[in-house]
Amino acid sequence: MKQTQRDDPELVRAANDGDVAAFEEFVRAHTDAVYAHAYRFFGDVNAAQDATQEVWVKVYQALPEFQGRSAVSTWLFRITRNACLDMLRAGRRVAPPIDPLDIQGRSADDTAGDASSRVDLQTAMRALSPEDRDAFNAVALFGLQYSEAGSVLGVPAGTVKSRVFRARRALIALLSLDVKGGAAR
Amino acid sequence: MNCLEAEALISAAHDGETVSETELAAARSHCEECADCTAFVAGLQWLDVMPVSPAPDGLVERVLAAVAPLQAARAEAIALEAENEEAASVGLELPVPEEEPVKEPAVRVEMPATTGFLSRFEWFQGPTKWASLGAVGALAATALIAFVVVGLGGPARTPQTASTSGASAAPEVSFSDAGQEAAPAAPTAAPQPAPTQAPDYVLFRDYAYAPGALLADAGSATPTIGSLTTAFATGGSVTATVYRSPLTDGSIVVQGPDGLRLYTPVVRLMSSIRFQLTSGKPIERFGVWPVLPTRFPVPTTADGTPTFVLAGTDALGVSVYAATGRPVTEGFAVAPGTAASDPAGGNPNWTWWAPAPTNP
Repeated sequence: MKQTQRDDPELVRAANDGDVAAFEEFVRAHTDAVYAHAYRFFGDVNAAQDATQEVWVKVYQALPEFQGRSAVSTWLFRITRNACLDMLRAGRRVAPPIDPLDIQGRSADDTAGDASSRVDLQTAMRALSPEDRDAFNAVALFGLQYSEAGSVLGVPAGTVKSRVFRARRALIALLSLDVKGGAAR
Repeated sequence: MNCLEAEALISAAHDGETVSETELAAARSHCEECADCTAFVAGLQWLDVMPVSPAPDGLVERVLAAVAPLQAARAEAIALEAENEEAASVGLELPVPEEEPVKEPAVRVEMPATTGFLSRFEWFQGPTKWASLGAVGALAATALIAFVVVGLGGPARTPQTASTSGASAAPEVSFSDAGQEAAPAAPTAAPQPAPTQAPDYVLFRDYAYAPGALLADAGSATPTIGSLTTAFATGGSVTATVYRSPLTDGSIVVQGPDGLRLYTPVVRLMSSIRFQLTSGKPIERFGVWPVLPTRFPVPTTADGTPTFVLAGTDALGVSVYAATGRPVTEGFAVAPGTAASDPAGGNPNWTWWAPAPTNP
């Protein structure tokens, strides 16, 4: 998550007091993480954008309820995850399953920054089980500790550890990542 | 130490989790000699530098635009709260809505006509006069709230029309950081109550209002904001003049057969935001139920699909439904069959609730 000049608790408090600029700063700092989670969840740009908008509306509505008993990142991840699940439950969006066999390994010419590797990463993410993907996103996108992620996911920290590890192994295997110069094997 | 143990330790350490230095050293030592684990460590680092798909251009602006109405409403609520505090500081105690059961049947409350209507405008413009006029003001406000509570609701209804600070009452979905969030209630096919006659609604600019206290004659200089058409309780249809209300609760003043009467907005709260009942067709006389705007096909399913989708619950715990593909902040529908104490209680139709106008 990006760093801001004011820390997250300060921004949340200020936004709750009616500081429009503080909320905008908070949104700008974390929209990439929210969007990335939604995109990995739905695998669709439009759905991810709708979900991102819905997340921030819910965040704004929930500002008075944030009491600082958890980290802001934990709170934001909780809302993001639940908003996506709610959209799915309500039938407004679907997350089509992915066959891991459809995922293409990276070519030797790929680099970390190009579009094809992004596509492959996102596709590979959707090949993970929802449980593993959520745990991985909580840690990798939102910067949560295992215990914090566990509180949102309703599982012990050890389970988060296992899921994140399993997700990493799967991603590395799916994307054919290799040690040698960052090229694919 | 085997490969899985070594890689799991390195993965945890990579995430900043506390691991034994001894075990971590052993894992690293293992990785130096194991090609598979070396590949895992490299892949771990590779994953870190793989770019996350950034939010598309314009998404932040779209988000901010969606939140803007909520921010405006919050600013209004904060200002109103400050106004109430200021009033309290000069000795006027404004009635605070409470969840006390109101058991008496609807009674039309007459405001004391001790002064002219224009002078009432002055009451609310000069806080220094509030103290001396506090008793009358409090009586009028209490009467207004009592009428709304009694006239539209039963024992358990929270008087939404008099409050903009319902956040602590019951948000539609808990997003507290205290624990796991509860999912919105599943759509329920509540049994349809026997049709009853609608309250004495009038419709102004498609928003529904219910009658409140009777005011004194305004005189010719009272500011008008429009007109509405209704037959009131009896008689033929008339065009009634609508005046700006001296209150700041979104009410209007309507010239009726018995004089000037306050009409209060029929609202429900969702996350502290006021949404007001609308109607897609005119309410020609008292006793006519509002209906959905014509742009929405009337749902034939209990959960509103495909026209609507469940969006959560309001402050009274009633399920609300957003238009499919649209944010709930633009308005929501409520299914028929709500409790008698609900603002839509008794209405056999789906109803649509739009953000309440701040200044009708």
